[in-house]
Amino acid sequence: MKNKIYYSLWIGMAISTLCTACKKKTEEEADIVPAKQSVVIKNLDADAANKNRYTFFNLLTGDTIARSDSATSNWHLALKGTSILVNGGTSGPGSVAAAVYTGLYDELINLPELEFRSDGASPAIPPGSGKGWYTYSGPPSHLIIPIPGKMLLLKWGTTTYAKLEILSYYKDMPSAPTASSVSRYYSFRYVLSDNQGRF
Amino acid sequence: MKVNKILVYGIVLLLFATMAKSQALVLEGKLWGEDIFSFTNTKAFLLQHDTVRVKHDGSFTFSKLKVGNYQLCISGPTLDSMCINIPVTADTFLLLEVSKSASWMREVVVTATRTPRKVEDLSVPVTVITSEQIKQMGATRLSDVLREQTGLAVVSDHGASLQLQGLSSEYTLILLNGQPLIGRTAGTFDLNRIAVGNIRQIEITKGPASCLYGSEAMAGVINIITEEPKKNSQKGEALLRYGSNGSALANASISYAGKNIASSLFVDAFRTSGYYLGESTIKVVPPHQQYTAQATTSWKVNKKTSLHMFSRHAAQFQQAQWQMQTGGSGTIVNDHSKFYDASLSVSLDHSLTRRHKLSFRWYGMQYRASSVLSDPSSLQPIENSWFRQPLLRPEVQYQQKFAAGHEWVSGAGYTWEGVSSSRYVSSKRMGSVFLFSNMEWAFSRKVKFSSGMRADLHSVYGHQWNPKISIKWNLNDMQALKISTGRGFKAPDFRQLYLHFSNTTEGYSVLGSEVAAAQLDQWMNQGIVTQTFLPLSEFNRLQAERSYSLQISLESQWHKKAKTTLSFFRNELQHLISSTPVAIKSNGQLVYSYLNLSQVFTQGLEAEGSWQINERIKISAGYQWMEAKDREVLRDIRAGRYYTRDPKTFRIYRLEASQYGGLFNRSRHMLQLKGSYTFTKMKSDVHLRGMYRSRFGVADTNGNLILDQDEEYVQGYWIWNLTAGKKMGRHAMVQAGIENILNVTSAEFLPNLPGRIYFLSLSSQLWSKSKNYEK
Repeated sequence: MKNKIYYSLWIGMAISTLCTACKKKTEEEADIVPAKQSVVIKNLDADAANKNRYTFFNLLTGDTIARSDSATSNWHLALKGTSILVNGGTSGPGSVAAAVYTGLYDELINLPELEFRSDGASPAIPPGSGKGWYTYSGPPSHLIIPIPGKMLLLKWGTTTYAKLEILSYYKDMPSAPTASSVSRYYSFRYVLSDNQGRF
Repeated sequence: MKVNKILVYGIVLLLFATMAKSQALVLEGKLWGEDIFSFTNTKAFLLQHDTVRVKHDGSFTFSKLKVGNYQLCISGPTLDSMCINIPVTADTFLLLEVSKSASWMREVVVTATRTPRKVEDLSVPVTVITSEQIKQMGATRLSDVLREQTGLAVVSDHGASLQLQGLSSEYTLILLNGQPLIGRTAGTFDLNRIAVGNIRQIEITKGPASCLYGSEAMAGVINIITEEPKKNSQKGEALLRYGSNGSALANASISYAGKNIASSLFVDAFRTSGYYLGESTIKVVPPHQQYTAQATTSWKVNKKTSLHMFSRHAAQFQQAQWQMQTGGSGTIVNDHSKFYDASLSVSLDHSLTRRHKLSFRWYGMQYRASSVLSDPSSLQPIENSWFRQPLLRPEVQYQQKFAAGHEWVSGAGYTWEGVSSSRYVSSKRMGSVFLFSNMEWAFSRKVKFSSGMRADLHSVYGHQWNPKISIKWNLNDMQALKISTGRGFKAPDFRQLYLHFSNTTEGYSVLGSEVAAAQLDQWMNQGIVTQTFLPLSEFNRLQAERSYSLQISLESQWHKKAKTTLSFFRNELQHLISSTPVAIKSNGQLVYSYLNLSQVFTQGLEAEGSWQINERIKISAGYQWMEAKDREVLRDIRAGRYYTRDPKTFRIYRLEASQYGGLFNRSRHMLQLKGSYTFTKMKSDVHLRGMYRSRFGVADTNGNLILDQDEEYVQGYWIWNLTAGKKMGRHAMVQAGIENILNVTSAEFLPNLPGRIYFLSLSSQLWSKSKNYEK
């Protein structure tokens, strides 16, 4: 009888150690670049010097474009501080429209039904804490933190879509930013869809 | 003199017959009793012989006695008078156990029913903190006292903010001699505003008491009762105290009481230089000075009628510096602020017959606060803000006793409140009529039942009625079970209704719900606001916040020296008001307003025990387990709508309900340990108290706005305080103490907790006269 109890205890312990082991492994495996062809951009300067200037970014090339080309449709996103504009509507001559989606980046494969909007009286990506992509922690730390589970869906042309997840607003992606962390440096990852709108 | 039968039960009589002498016998004795540390002004008399003064430590001696039967009586201001028959045949030594008097030890409380009641007769749990305990702590402000009580947390939130059963300060009503104290900042009543020098007792009622007190009494009621002069006596006392951080306190009280007129005055002055913490370059607690004056007068007009007045004036001046955030760069500004509060309460009690009593009360209070922000170098004022709040409340109360344990109290009154402030467009006022009724009924010796109801008819936010039912069931001689359930509410306050504030440096605005729709409409037309997040028609009148509560407690008196209390509570809160973004301005900043948004529940278990091991050692412990969670957040987590980020890998995953830590700034575990030791011969005592608070959430760091990650907590901590007191001569006492022995500090999260503090105080009775020991 006693032996039985010991055995079952041993088995139970063995199972539980196995389980914790495998759990840890999956957590370690999870990296910021999961697989596929997601592009990771680090430390994109979005008016870090606070000169009231937007940084213009092209998702196809994965690079910024010169400010002098801001009147063209060569860019998709313009970033300045926490504000993100899309090249469309009142912001530019392009046809980019955007929507904010809530879910897991990796789980988003088929395009959800969403209303894509260009910038107008209010930007397509709503500014303000808790409204769009970030929350503002307020005093004393004044942190801007991307809302987990929020991502930007962008659309231009008829079949080109991108899903974009902002990872950090601070230089070198500190895991716990503080009031003295250098802000206005975007790190994000994104991926373009195939022509069926699948990621 | 009446022999009180109830009191005689505790008498331990030890008779030592020594040598049998036929003449000139000596009767020696020593008094002792639970919670009695000094026998000042106590007298012992042998009715057929002599009166002697009992020494401070309780000893007394009668000499030159003859053989015979004597009646020995003991009388003192803090004791229940008692008489016993002593046959004296030889030199005799007596050890006599005495009890604190009814108005002293057998604590009589008024908060629970609005009429004086002994604690053990109540069907709702009430905790009493006595003046003795306050003195032993060496406390100066109310925050010092409440911080050391089981189930109470004092957190830093716009001052020293009380948390009761997981609910924040705005849901606890604070009364001074039964009348509400006003003047809150963002809902917090700053407990540092109240000096504790002349408090007789503090009554803590947990659970809603809106059925008696109306708004704010949702989590509970703290009633501070000040000292009243004893009949036919006069007294003067003074205390000086100096401690770390340049904190100094001086207070004095004088009282005079004749046969029919009694009067007392208490003054208290406190100053501190404030302190820096950690690497802060500006003081986290700024220098401030506080002055308090309180006076009472009572007049017994005739046998049936008495008049009582209480008045208080308090002022604080503070010289602060703040780091102001202006577009990323921080500038330092001076903030010179002050507040002033004044109150007067007049009550007239008239006994119609022995069983009917009528009371009229008139209460007025005014709170004023102002602040001037200025540039530290040029001293140019940047911003002036001020706030004024008057309150007026006449009421009448009628009390009827039917039979023993069967009593009925009811009353009616009117509350008028106003407010004017630099942050409000114009001065505002509101009024409410209230009616309440409370019935107590003892079914049998075992079961007592109490029920009450109160209606508040309010001019702005609608009507409220709040019932409560409670039962006390004496399981046996030692144990009593108390169950109560009821509803509480908190009216939307002036800020939530009328605030009109725009931040000059950052540009956001906050609008009260009554002014939001009109102002947003105007701003839309002017182009200041580009979009509102909800239609203007939805800025309805706010509803009152509401709670339903269940409180169960089991009180056990194991023997005369040991008792325990076990309790469970659950509070369901609905229509909680919180500020939320309602519109966006053209400058990109948000407009906030107040809406009835969240539903929260709090529940917990509390255990308390105290044991007087012998006449020297007393120990006690208290523990609270508590959780407070937002219902909607829980629902959304279960529906998979909350996500969290691993801070190292930046990977996002769905949150599980078990990871949700509940509301911020709440500790799941709180523990208190207290021990005291009395050195009888040295006339000194030592008190050691330890308070533990487990980790609590301070801020969201991963953007999902809720508490879910270890990084979002501040570690738990222990505070240990030690005080030691020694009587010097008959009337003076020296006390020294170390607070926060472990030197726990956190500039960011625990600004109200200074590091290790040392203090020394000297108190003395300046004079005392007492004519009458009869009753």
